[in-house]
Amino acid sequence: MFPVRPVAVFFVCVSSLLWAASPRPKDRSQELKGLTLEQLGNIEVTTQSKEPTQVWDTPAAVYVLTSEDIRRSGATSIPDALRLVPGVNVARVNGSRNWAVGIRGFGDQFSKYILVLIDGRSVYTPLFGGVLWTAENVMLEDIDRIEVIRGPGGTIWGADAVNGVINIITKNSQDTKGTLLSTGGGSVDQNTEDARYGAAHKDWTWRTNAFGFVRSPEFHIDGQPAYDWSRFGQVGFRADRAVGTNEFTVQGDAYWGKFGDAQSLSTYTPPATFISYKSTNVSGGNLRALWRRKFNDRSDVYLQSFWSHEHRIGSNFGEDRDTFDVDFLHRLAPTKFQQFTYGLGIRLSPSTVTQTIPTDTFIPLHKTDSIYSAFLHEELRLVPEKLSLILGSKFEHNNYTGFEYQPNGRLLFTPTQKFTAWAAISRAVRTPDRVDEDIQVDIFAVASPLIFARVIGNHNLHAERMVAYEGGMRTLLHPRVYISGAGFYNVYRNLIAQGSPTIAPAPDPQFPSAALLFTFQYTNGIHGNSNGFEVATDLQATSFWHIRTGYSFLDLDLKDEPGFKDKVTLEKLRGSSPAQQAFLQSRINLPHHFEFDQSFRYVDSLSAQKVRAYTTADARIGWNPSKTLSLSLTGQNLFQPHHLEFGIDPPPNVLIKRGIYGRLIWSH
Amino acid sequence: MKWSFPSEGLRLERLNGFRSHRALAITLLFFEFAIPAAIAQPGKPSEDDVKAAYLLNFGKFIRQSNGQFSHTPFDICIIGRDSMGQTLDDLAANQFIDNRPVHVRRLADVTQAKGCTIVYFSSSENDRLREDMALLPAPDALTVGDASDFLDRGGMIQLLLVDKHVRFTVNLSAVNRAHLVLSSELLRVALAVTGKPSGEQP
Repeated sequence: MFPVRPVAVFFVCVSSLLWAASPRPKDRSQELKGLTLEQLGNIEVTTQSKEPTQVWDTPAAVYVLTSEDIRRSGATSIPDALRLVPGVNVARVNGSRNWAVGIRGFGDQFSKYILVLIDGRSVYTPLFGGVLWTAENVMLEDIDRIEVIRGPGGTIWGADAVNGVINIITKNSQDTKGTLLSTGGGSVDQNTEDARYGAAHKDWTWRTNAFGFVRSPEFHIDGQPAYDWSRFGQVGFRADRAVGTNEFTVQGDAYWGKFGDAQSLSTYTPPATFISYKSTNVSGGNLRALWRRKFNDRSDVYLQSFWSHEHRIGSNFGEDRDTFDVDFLHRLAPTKFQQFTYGLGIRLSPSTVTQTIPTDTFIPLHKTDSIYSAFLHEELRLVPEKLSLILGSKFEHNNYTGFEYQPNGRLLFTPTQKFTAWAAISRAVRTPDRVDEDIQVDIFAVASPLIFARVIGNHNLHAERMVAYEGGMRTLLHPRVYISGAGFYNVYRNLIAQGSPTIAPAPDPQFPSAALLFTFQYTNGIHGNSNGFEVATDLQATSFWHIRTGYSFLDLDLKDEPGFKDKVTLEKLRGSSPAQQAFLQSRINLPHHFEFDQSFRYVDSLSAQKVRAYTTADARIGWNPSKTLSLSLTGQNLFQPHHLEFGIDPPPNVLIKRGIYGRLIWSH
Repeated sequence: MKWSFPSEGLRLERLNGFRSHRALAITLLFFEFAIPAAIAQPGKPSEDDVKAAYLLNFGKFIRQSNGQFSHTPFDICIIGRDSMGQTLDDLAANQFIDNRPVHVRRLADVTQAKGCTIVYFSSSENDRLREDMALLPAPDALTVGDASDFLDRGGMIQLLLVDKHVRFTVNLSAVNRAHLVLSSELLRVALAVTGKPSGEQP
């Protein structure tokens, strides 16, 4: 199943680049010597590819999505923008329910194996061990960049960063002074309004913003209710102060959302299943404060604290959760050859589940999750400027599995200014979440004989473990051609699965008499490995034409651990990640301030989700007539009227529609 | 909860995938021809080449406002990841400004910039400009950079690309604070000059 065609095409591209890239003429300086300032200003120059300087010396597979990448892609939400990152699998489930996001596989509606942060604040919930993308929205014009790390980030960020870390970084309020108003609407994104105002006062700069959107349902087959609309609103603020070597930031948000939903639920008497179309409400807020003091380029201190509150209530259950977190980090350089970092952190998260139907509950209803962590990180410059060795580990104590450690070792080799190579071995863990441990869901299965199925949590779970062997390179092959690549081999153990049922008479008085109960308990039961690679390029083809491409390949080989029998989870894990993915984004600057942008995406099939391989494209025309006004028209998912990206329960699957929307931005 | 078995329709999926493969392959091949054609443009100097030439040139137009002449080497210091490379070294080779030999120093850290006459902040420093300026141990050096907010962060000369030409803007307040004077010849050619004008005009 090796992807012959795409790989062959890629190699043809690379070899022709290598052939065509001419070395710089040696007498360039002769041309320029002796020219006056005025003459220098009159020379026409070739433009070059911007090497991403933040990532150059990072011994990990990092990819940075700039705000320009996001703006020109026509994306309307963060998961949408992540489609154009190599190695990230993004599938839209339906209009409201969620997005299935994964890095190097394991994408599902819960995004369990990636840690997602907004300005360093984790938005990963211990309820189901993942991210509720529908509730985590950031005004796109506020995003400075999104840093995506493929591979384990356990040493720095702790547990649950098994397959990757996505860090969404908003702009400093210094960069958002003035007024911004943005309005848009279209066939699927019916209405989006953003407003922002920022100003400076003495040492402080600040901004406040408000945004909201209304989305219409995606494509539903005939006869099925179109239940997946969504409405969302959020207000927020941010203030920053920088005095000499001290930096302070305070920010906060509050949000409200309402989504149409469909949940498959069961009742005890009469024994039945039904679909509830009751909408889900979410609301919440967060507050974050950060102090940073820099001693010199290699030494600083960082202290961050945040609180967040999440409220969600749907037809299956509700949850109220508070999170309190304090993190401290100190970087120092005791000798010229060393950079030592250590950190400490505490996170406490009390939550209460509200039962809305007798057949769905958590035992206990109330729980406080706690994580106490410390980490050490040492960078040794073995050969200054050329070879560095990094060793480190994170040590955590959590209330589910006790003590966990996540060590890693990395090598960074920078032989020239234009080439970097790195290699890494890391261990990462994912701690069980409340669903794995505490859930109890009863489902009516068969009428005669009367059978119920029960999915139940397990209080004796071990953490899921992964050891990753990775390597990668980056090169500025030519001033206008940047190529990066990474490969990995991951070994997984203790993955949590449903297992085979134990059969017993259903207990009174909950269940009707003479009912049988098939109990499936979550157990650590799956192991295996995955391997693959990603390649990405950034090309400044001409001064007005910029191209970004990415290709990823994944081979997942999972099986039941000896003595464990599970079919359901195993098939789902094996068949929910695409073996190959590719994208291409082309951005053309036209005369009279017009922009023409296209992005093409190919995603391989997902057998367990009944999703066929598909290719589709988005196209955008932008016009920026003045510094204050910006207009754009974007078409999304253009190749088909609708296509399936991911399965959903209850069926039928919802298809993602072709859509168009326009946007107007006024800023001053 | 649904129990389902892998679909029998995998063969159908493979066929659909083939069609999509073809569309993608054609698109990639098209760009593959565009790229070599674009790269093989006849040798125009790059942005970095012209920036290097500017750095050498600026040296001829700065003076200390207290009228003192320095006898130390004229050091052009590059902070961070240098992309000007060989061109800068070639331009600086065997050059003298005000009878001072020109040296190029490449520094990883701004705290090593003692004694520099011109300090150039490469784009790898863009996120740290405020801190770099605070830690700079050469208070009378001319600071040059190409970050879009370089002048706001206290820089003196910002290099920028305007319609395929490399131009520069000047912040005179920062120049005054360092007790430097820039010749009117330089100010005349600048794209824009902001800040309070200096007392003297040579």
